[in-house]
Amino acid sequence: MKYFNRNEQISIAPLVVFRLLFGLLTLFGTIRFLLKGWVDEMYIQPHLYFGFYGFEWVKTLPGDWMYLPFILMILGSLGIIFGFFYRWAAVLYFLSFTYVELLDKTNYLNHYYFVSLVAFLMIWLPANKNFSLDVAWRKKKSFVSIPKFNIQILQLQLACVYVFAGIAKLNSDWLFEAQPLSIWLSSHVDIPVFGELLKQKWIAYAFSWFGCFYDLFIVFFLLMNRTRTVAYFFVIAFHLLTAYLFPIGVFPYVMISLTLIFFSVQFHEKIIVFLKDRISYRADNKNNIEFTETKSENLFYGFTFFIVLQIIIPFRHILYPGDLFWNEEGFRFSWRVMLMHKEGLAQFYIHDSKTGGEIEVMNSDYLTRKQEEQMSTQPDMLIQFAHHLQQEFKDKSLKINNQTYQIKNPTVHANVYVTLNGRPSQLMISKNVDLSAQTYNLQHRDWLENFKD
Amino acid sequence: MTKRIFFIGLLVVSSFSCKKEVEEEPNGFNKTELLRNLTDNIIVPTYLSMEASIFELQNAWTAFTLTQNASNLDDFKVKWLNSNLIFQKAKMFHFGPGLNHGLRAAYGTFPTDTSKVLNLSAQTNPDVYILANIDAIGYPAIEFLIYRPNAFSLLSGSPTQRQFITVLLDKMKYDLDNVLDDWTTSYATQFKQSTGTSSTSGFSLLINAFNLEYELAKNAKLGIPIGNQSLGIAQPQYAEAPYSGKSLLLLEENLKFIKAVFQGVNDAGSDGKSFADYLVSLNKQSLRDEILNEINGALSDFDNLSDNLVVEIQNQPATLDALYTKLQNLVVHFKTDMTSAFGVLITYQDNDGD
Repeated sequence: MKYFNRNEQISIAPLVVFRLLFGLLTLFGTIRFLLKGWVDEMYIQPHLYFGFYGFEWVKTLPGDWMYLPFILMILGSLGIIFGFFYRWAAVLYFLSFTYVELLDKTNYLNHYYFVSLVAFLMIWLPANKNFSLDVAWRKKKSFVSIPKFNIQILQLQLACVYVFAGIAKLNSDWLFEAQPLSIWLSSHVDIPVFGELLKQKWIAYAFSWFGCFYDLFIVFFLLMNRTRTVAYFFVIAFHLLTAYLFPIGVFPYVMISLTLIFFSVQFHEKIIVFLKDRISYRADNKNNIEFTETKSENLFYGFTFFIVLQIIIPFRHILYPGDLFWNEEGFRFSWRVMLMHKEGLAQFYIHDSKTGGEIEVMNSDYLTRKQEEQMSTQPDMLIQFAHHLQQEFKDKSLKINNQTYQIKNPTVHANVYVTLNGRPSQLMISKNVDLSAQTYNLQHRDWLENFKD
Repeated sequence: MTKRIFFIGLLVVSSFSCKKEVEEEPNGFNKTELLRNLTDNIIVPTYLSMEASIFELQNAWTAFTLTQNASNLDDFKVKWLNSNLIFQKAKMFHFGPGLNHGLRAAYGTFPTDTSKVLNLSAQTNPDVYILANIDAIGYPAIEFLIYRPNAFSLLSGSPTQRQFITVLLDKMKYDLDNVLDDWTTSYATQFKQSTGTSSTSGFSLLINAFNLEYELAKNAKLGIPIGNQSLGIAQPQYAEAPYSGKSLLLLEENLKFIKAVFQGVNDAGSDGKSFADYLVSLNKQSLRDEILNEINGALSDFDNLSDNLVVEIQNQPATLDALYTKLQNLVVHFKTDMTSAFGVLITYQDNDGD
C-alpha cells in the first residue's frame, strides 16, 4: 500500500502547524479550566473520587496543590507552541494532563481522552525540528522533511475519532428513534425562528442521519484532494452547529483546528512561510535535509501498535453480554459521543444486620452535584460508591435519641432507577442486591437488572 | 459521494430557512410562556401575599406588645400560621433573589435551637443577621416563643423576649422586601427570557429548584423525623413546628404547592403554561397523568392524619411509612423522567460532545 510506505518523506510543515495549533488549544483549554473555577470544584472540593479501574492509586494533591498540574500544563503548552525543550514540554503536558484526567471518572470526556492520546503522540513526533526555539535558540538541527508516517499517525488518530463515533451511531435509538437528539433539540424550542423547527421529529431524524454519515465518511472526503475543501466547509459548519446547540466546551474548536492536518503540504508551507516572514525567523536550514534517524524505524512499529490498540479498544464491548448503553461495560474510550441521554435516581441504604435497622443515604453528603449526577446512571460508579459507603459506616457509632448504636457489619443496598434516551425510567439495581458483597472489576455485572426495551 | 453529502447538507441547511413550519406547530408550547406564567401568576404573587402576611404579623405583634392579653396572642398565632403556610410556597424559589438573600434558611431552619433563642431573646441587642444564629430566627424561633408552655405569661414578663420577636419580624420584612425588590425591578424580566438548557438558565434553575424543594419536603419534613436516616428509630425532635403541632399541615401545604406549580395554577384560579403542559407537548401525557395520580394519592393520605407529626409518629407510624413510600416513588418521576424529557442540564461543565 502506497499510503503506508514507511520510508516516504514529506515536508515537515503540516506537523509544525499541528504543533502550533495543538499547543494553542491546550493552552486555551487549561486557562479556560482555571478561569471557570473548575480546579476547585472538581479536584479540591469533593470528598471522594471515582478512580479508573487499575488507576485508583492516582490520588489528588492536598488542597491548592491541585493547581500545580495546571500550571505545569501551561508550561508544557508554551513549550509545545514555541518548540522550546519540546520533548520535555510534551512529556510534561502529557503527564500533568493525564494525571488530572485519571483522578475522577466523573469528569471523563472523550475529548479529554483524545487530548491525552495526541499529547502522547506528540512526545514521539519531531515537531520541533523546524520553526522552533529549539532550532533558533538552542541551535538544534533543523529538517525540511520527515518520514510521512509522522503525519499519518495524526491523521489516523483523527480518523479513529470520527469513524468510531460514526459506527457508534449505527444503533436503533440513533437511527430509528432519532434519540437522544430529539430530546436535546426539542429543548431548544425557544430559539427565535428555528426553535419550533428543532422540535419537529423529522429535523431530529435529519440531524441524526446526517451526523452519522458525517462521522463515518468525513475523513475520506478530507483525504481526497478533490473533495477536501468542501469537506472542510462541512467540518466547520458541523462543529459550529454542535457548539451552538450543546454545551460541549472546546471540543468543536479542537476538531476544526486539528483536521487541518489533512490539508496539502503546500497549504501548510504557505502558513509556515507567512509566519516566518512575520517574525523574520531565519534559523532553519535552507538545505533539503531529511530527518532519518535510526530510531524512526522503531517509532514506526510503535505507532503501528498504538493504532492497532486504538482500533481494538472500541470493540471490547462485544466481550460483554447485555445492552451496552444500559450496562456501560466497555463504553468509555470508544468515541461514543453524544450517544445517549440518561437520568438516574440512586437511593442508597445502609443495612445494619445487628439491629435490622436501615439508614437512608443522602448522596449529597458525600458527593458533589456532578458526581451524584454521573454516579446515578453508571454501574461502575454505583459500585464504587457502595464500597465507599460500606467503609464509611463500618464500625461507625451513631448517636440516636441519646443512645449510641455501634454498626458492625453494614451491607449496602440501592434502588436505582434510570431513564435512557427518553424511555420511561426502569429499575437498574434492585434493593435486594447486596452491593457491598459485589466486587468492583471488569467482569460482566450480573447484579444489574436487564434492560427492557 | 460528494454530491450526496452535498445534497444532505443542503437539506439540513435549507430546512433552517423554511420558516412556515413555525406557524403550523400544533400546540405552540414554549418555555417563555411557562416562565411568564410562573413569574407573573405564581412567584411574584406568592411573594406579595407573603409580604402582606408579614405586615399582618407585625401589626398583630404590635397589638400584643401594647395590650398583653391571651386573645391578642391567639390572634398573633393565627397570623403566624397563615404566614408560615404562605412561606411553604415561597421557599421553593430558591434561586436568584430568593437564594441571594437566603430567604429559605432565614425563615425556616428547623428544629430551632431553643437555648440559643432564649439566650438571644434575653439580650437587648441580639444579632439576628449572622449565619451562626440561623437556627434561632424565623418562623420556628417565633413558634417556640409563642407556643411553648406558659408562653403567655413568659412573654408578658419579658420585655426583651417581646422585643426579640419584633426584631425577628423586622428582619423577615427586610429580607422579603429585598427579594421582592429584586424580582420586580430586574430579575423577572431576565428570568422570563432565560429559556435555555444550560444550568444557569432560568428554566433550569426553576426545574432544579422544583426538584430540590420536593426532596427537601420529603426528607426534612417527614423522612428524618420518622427515622429513615437513623436505623428506623423515629426522631420526633426533628419534626417541624412541634410546639404548635402543625408539622403535617405545613408539609401538606408544601406538597399542594408543588402540585400547583407542576400544573401552573394559582390560588386565584388562573391556569397557565406549566411543566405539565410541557410534558404534553412532548407527547408525555402518560407521565403527566402518573405524576398527578401519585401526588393526589399522597395528598389523600393527609385526610387520615392529624396536623401533628409528633403525635402521628406514636399513633400511625405505618400510615407515615406508606406516605413516605409514595413520595419516594414520585421522586423518580420528577428527577429522572421529567428532567430527562426537558433535556435540562444539572451541571454547567462541558458535556461529551461530537
